Amino acid sequence: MPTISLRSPAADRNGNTASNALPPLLQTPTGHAIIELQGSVLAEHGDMEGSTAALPLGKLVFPSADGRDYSTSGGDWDGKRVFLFVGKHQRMTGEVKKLAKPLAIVRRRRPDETADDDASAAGDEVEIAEIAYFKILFTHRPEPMGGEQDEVMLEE
Amino acid sequence: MAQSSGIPITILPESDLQHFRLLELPAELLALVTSESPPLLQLKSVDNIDGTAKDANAVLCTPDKTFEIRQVNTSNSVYLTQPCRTGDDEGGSSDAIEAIAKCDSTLELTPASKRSAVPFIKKALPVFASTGSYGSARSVSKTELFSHIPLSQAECEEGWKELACFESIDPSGCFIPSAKVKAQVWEAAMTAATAERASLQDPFIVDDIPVFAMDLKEDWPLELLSGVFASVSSSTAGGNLAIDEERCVRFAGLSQLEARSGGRATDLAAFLKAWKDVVPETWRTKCEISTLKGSYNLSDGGKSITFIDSQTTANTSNGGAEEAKSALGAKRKWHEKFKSAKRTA
Repeated sequence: MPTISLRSPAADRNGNTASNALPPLLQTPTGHAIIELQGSVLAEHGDMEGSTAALPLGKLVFPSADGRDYSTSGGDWDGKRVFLFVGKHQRMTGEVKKLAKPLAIVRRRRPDETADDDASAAGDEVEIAEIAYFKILFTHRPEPMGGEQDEVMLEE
Repeated sequence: MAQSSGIPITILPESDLQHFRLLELPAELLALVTSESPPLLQLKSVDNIDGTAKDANAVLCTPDKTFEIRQVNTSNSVYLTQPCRTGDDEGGSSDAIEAIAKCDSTLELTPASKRSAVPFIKKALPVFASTGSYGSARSVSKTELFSHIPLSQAECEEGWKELACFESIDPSGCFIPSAKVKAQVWEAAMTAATAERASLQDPFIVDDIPVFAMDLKEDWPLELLSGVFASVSSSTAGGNLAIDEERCVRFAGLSQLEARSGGRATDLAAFLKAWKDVVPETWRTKCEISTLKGSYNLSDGGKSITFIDSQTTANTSNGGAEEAKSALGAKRKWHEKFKSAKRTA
């Protein structure tokens, strides 16, 4: 069929049970968020394609206006800046951007969910799983971090 | 040290990544999908009207609007993340996020320029001829027909109505009545209305026909009649249909002209008289050829008129012959374009 149905997001969606560590601004009912890096992620050991283990990219830090981390300062995030610490010696500075046009996160609808639905017989269906209004965008090149991290670097 | 308290982020290995697409939502569409009862949207693929997939593309349709979809690739790495639990160095676990998908492109939507469904319908459906023949071509159900037209449901319906299409059960399928059929049905309907002194603009039930036209069922299938009456009518506030002056005058004019002309020039005065004869007395002043702008060519110093199909260059209304003509390509169309001008010279 040349026509495929596109379902709007369910009003009562919440797919994820893990608690969401992101600031409330970035939280969505299903927990999905969008992170954009200008560039690509290259893993140190071999390429990512062969690997079966998840690649630890680093840690996201949402600083408060006075330089402290969001998660320790009790929600006192400045609402804009984000740091991504990659490994022990790289830091990327990014920001949370409001999307001019929100993004629908679209996926093929799982067949088991449609089992008791009249429309399931209609064949292929896609659905909007979530709508993202913000994204975390890293456009700056990674900055080197020196000091006490140096010894960790040498171990690798 | 700042990074010890951050949120750990991991990227799932390539083989575990899920497939997601990102679709930009213009304000209008966002309002729709986040509304209380969001409508079902449709993704439709576009075939060219002549069946080639040259500019094959996809559109997104709301119930009454069409958006063109454009895929925009990005060189950035765009990850879709979700919360998860992760073990940390000390053997405990903490809230983390993981990237579950990588999206290399975004789908952009732009409102499509208004297009008529008429050429698509003409291409797909066989013609119901005045001889009562349903045409030999295989026909399809209305639902299937619309699913192949890259336009919204409302736009499809509008084209369907304009052509006075109808869906019949035996033989099953959808058909377009020929101009001759439409002209004949309308003439008969007018005669019946005059004989019964019926008021033309009384509302009647959708998919049915007005009471004064009931006798017409003896000569034509009911589905055809209701198709014709739907074509000349517009919806009333009460959910019924009522014959609409503008639609009616236009319908009567176009079907008369197409039936009389049949690709050749026909006498203008005679056509105008015939047109006025098939509309109610009070609407006759509306029968001016400017109403049919775009659907005719004048020739012979303005004394003759030729019907031209304004909707499509691939005119299939006359069946096989016309189709063969359009297959000859652009060169032939060039001649057609200047044919009338040549004659006057």
